[in-house]
Amino acid sequence: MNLNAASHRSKKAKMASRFSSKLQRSLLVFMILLGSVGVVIAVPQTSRRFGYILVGLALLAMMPVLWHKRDLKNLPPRSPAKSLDDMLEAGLLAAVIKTKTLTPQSAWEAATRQWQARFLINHLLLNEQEIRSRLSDKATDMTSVWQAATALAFKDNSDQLDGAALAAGLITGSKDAKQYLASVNLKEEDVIETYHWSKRLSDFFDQPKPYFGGIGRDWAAGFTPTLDQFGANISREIEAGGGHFHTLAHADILDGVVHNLGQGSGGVALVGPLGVGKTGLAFALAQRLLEGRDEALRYYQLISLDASSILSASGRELERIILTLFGEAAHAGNIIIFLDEASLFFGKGAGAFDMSQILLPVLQNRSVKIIGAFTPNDWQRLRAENESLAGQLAVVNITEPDPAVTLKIAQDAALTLEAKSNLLVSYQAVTEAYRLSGQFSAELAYPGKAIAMLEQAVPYAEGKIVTAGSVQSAVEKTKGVKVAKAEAAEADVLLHLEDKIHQRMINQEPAVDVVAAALRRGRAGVSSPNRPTGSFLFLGPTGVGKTELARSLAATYYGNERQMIRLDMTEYQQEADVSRLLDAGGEIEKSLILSIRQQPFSVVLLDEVEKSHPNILNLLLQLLDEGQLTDQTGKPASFRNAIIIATSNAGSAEITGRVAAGDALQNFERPLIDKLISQGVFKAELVNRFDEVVLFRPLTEKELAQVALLMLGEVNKTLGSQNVSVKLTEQALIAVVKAGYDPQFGARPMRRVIQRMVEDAIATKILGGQAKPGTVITLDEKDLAKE
Amino acid sequence: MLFELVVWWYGSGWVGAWKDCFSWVKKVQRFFSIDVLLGSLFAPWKRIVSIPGRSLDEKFRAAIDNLVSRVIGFCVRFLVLIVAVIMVTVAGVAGIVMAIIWPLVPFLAIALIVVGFMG
Repeated sequence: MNLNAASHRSKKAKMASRFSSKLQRSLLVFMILLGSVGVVIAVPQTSRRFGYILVGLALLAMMPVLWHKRDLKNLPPRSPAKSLDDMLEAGLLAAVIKTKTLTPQSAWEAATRQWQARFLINHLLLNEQEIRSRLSDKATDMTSVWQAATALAFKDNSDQLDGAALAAGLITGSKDAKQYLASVNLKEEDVIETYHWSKRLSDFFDQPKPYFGGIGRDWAAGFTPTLDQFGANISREIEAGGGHFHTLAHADILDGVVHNLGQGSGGVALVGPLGVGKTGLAFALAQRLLEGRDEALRYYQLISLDASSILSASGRELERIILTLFGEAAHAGNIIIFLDEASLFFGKGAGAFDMSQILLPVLQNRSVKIIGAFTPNDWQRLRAENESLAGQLAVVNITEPDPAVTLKIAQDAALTLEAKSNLLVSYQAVTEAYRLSGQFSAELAYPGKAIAMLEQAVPYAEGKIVTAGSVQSAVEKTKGVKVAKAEAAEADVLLHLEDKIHQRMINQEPAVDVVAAALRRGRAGVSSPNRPTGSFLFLGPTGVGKTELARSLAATYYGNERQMIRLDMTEYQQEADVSRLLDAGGEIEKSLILSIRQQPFSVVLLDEVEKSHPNILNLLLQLLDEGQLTDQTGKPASFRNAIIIATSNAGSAEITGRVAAGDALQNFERPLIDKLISQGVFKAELVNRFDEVVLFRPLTEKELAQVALLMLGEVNKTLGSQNVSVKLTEQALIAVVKAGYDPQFGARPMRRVIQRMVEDAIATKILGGQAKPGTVITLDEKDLAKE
Repeated sequence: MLFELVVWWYGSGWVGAWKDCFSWVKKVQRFFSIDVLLGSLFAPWKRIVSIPGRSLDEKFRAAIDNLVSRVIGFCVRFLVLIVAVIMVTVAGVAGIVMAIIWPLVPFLAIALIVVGFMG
């Protein structure tokens, strides 16, 4: 398509651009001033002539003002478009045709004067000059730019080409500009997505102001003073804001709700997980009813009851209030009551009350329309406990929207957030909130969790901009996890993780290597975000370092040894123990769910896993597969930020025997695992779900000596405060190793032996005055305390 | 530019002036929501009604109360309807007058200036 600068529309656009806002204001003031003064002074005979002149001039000034207001200001695109000037948005058209030679560079300058292009540049945090410098200055290159821009507009079913479309076309049509995009970690699709975002806002601005009914509307309904006191009128909120800007994820569901309520159904139960958009749907419904399109529900008002303020009353007073609320709603004749978190109105616990006895007759005789928002579990509970009440509500299930729609909803919510906080929420912040909330907010559903994360990021805005970094900071502060890209020092730790672990652990290289590799994958964002950071089955005899490796991981990766949840699975051998493990309100130490909620970034150590009940092993399948477990109330708990380590002594006799016979671990690793599966110790599906099955071999005497020296290092660390240190002679070390090794328990007795033989000897020397500050105590075999 | 202004003034501008008659009337009608007022003209004011009791006396009293409520509702809505009708008429007439004098405005302006100068 060509650009015809001489077309009627081009000329008009050019003229419209001459009417700067300053000129418009001047003409308007001139017109009003001259007109009013003229009329006043035209009355007396003496100044009548002058008055006529002023009124005449005012009329002349009025003509261009009206022309601009009624014609030039709103130049709709011509459809079907025959040339580019038929499609270009008026402001952009004027800017483009004013350019002598239109090249990508000059087109960029023209586009960036339009708010739509500024929206795109600002929300993508692009460097305007950098892009300009990368664009071509050849007029012939504009053909491909126009093609890209019009393709974008057509894809959006738009017959108008605005500044954002042109800017997006310029960026995506230039190789150099795309290289710049890649350098700031953006893709072509991000630019296109931001164009669609700006287009939605532009369409919202362009749509006529909605009509919500005139002064006769409210006179047709009854008074609702108590409802106004104990509820929030969603309809009035929307009316005051002149409409509700949002992307509707569940248009078909909204039709169903309107149909149900309009057909005389007393109530509707919106059933979906927290954050899925039940409240958003209520807002969309309120707007739709205000628009009066649905005859049966025309101008109905949606009032959300506030459970906490109702609960401030008690006993008979509470009953009276609830009766009054429903009485007013029935009498008013235009009220739909919305029970957000409806379980609070039918519950028995703290912060809840039960009004089902009052509500049932109301629903049965259809006197008030009610919408309740339930989570699936709350709904199931209501059905189980009060079937007759649940039967009165038409169920509408709400599921998470697809990712593309979720992102649109989050983008639109970001604009509301911008208006509230006076900040700019970047595109990158929205996508990062989407990504990280998927990883770290298992308790909520999309789109709510992405929006909640964006809200949390507001205090971490950089300057006046909420960036991806702001979202990462919010997650790091609120969840206590590192999500930003590994910084130099941390990257160094990750790259040399094996060395760090070996500072605390002797040998077991294969185990350390696979675990370190898994952590690096997790931190670099390579591993699946929907599974635990790593999952391992450690097999080997007692006292060879299985638990120590788990502890080292907690210290190295999560920063503290205490970031470890340790469960002795021998305590979970009965079927009834499953519920204890999934308990959402019992002892934290016994409930895996409660522990992980308290410490989501932990090493989860399941000791002697093979001894637990088969049902628990089945749960483990789910945990390893999906990275989450569901508690008894149906709420998920995420293990996606945890490292799962299951240990077992199964096969340890064979490991010990074959290592003693000089066989290398890798030679019998797979046959041993197969044997354990065939013996029914582990199910194949469980073993296959672990990232790695790691065999630990018994420690040699030399390694035991290294373990003893490591433990001695810990003793020295403690003695450091007294400026005293301890050394063992070779003979003393051999004696300690001999005493600290047990064929059955490996190096496990070593800590106790160090305590008794070494620490006791040191204590005696310190108390005997033989160890003054600065002394290095050398202990020989004879100095060691008796075991 | 002047030519384009004149073309618009006697072309789509004038057509727009006629269209304005209808849009002004529609705006006023929407502001007063005349359809709703008419539909609920005889309805009780704010739906305030008495529930009739069992005895004849109570039934009679409820009927009187409801009648009073309906009369109040009727009066208020009727008064507003009268105002609405007046406003709709004013808007319509003003729109028609504006549309009629629209083509004369340029001449009127020039005439006033010329008369002013000529005396």
